[in-house]
Amino acid sequence: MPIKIVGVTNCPAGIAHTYMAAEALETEAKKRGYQIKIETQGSIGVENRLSPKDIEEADYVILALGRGLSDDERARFADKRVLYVDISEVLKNPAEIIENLEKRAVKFENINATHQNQVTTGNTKRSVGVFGHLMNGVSFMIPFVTAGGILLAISTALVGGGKTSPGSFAFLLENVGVIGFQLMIPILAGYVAFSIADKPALAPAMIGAWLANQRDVLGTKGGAGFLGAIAVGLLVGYFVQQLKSLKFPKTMQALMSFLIIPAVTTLLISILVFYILGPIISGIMFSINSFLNSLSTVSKIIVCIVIGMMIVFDMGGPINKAAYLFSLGMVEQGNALFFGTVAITNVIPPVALGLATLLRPDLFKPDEIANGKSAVVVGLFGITEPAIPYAVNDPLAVIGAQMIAASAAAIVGVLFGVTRIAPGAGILDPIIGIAKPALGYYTALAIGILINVALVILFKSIRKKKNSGLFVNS
Amino acid sequence: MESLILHDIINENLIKLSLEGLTRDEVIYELTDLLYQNGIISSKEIFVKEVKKRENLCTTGIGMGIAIPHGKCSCVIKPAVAFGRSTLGISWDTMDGNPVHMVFLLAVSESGAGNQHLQLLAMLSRKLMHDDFRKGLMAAKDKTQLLSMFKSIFRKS
Repeated sequence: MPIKIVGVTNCPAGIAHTYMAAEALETEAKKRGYQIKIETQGSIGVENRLSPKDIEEADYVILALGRGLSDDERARFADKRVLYVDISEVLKNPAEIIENLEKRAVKFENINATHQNQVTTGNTKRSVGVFGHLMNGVSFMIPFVTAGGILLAISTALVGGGKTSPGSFAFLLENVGVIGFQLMIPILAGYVAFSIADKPALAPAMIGAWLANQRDVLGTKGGAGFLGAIAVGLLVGYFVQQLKSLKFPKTMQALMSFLIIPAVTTLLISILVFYILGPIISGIMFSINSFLNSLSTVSKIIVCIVIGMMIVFDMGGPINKAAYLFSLGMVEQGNALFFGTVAITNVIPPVALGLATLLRPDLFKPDEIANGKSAVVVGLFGITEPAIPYAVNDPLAVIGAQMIAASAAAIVGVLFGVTRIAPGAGILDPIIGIAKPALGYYTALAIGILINVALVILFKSIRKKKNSGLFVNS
Repeated sequence: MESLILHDIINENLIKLSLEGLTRDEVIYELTDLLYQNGIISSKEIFVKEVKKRENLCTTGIGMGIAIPHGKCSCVIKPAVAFGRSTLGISWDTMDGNPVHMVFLLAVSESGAGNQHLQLLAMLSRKLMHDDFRKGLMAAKDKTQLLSMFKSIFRKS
């Protein structure tokens, strides 16, 4: 009787390793004349599933796992001689695994305890970090601001900047717009918490953040705004995550996620917000806001330069997001100047780089030239991503040029008082009415792009001259 | 029928006979660019992020000069592979410590759509474990030869 082996392979993505490991084990086993059957748990689903009979007849079981195995699935192999390995070990040396199977495979009940931790560490797909949770909240919040902001802009345009009269269409749009803005706060907090601890955290965070933004209830001068929303979202999220990890009697468990956790957490966060968090954060927000509003033009320019440079520095990375979030948060506080800077500077890098490839193709790689035209078009509509490959290929020249250009554009923007009240679509912003004044927006943008194009070409030519005679492509 | 699907997954536009990049990230960007230009993915930035996230979980440099970075994300319009070779070698944190000479960048959509395509990727992955297949890929003179190697995926080994 030949030796019979069964096994399971899986990996985090379930695209490649699962099948490579299966193939490697099968090849090695067949070389030695063994019988082998491997169940692959990939993204196609489970294939070649092991039947109870297969497992029954098998001498050895190989579990080559990249993302663990549930208790139920492991129970299938009770009392068998099992070898647990990381899937990468199989890829490294499949022959060694098959050869030493007899020595290394152990009875199932023994490995149950020792491999418990290994199985749980395989489940770390949700470890996204605080920043990831924040971005999840922001991505849910943005549609509210966009929808609200555009309707608000239409309403303002309808009445020519004056007051809307109750009952009119402009009045309706104005109020709907305001609702969108008010909802952005609880949505931000709710989905930050949701990202950390799922459904039970959503309600307490939304309620808590809404409360933190009600200055009438808190008796403060202003609401806690987006800072309050972030604080509430994170607090509630991590608190609920802790609560969920506590062991409760079975009878209570069913009630935990939809009744006990939301109710208890809402009560606690409300008390915290009302007595401590609300007053403190709304105080901070109020002073930031009045400070920013009291700034002289020169100081406003400095703040906007910093924002502009942050926006173009890592194009979509954490620094960009921090500046974006701050500026958007200030819109909710009634100060749209900073978001105006964001509106201008966001567009500059891809458009400028695309234009530069058209003007001086000799300074760019073939891929960069191929991408140039689409970078201009896509970039004009406010999508910065096409600029990233250029920055990756030549960070110093590209990022340096666009930071200087963004500073210049920010200055012009402040001088014209360019504001934007909602996330938009690049050069369409003044047309749909969310960015104003149109002349200022386009002037600042044009100046920024011009400077950026000129500097990128300049920096790259200097580099090229220096490198001429040397091996350039390194 | 099968060769039609194969053409969806890999074709001459998705092949680079000689990669320019010398590091893992450079090559990931280089091949991502091919995917983007051929309408496989809708965002380079998101896709690269996804690929790097997977790479940081555990390297896909499986040794034998091969790396199979992959990204599964909603930015993938249809599943496909970009393939690139490098005679110089690419520095990559691989399982056997040797540099990488062949990179398969797999793009898979979140929805799990295109089951046949996934099957094909699975078959390709299996095929890569065989010595002669790898040698053949490295020795192929042009894209036509490479594509006919890929066609052999369908023949039972």
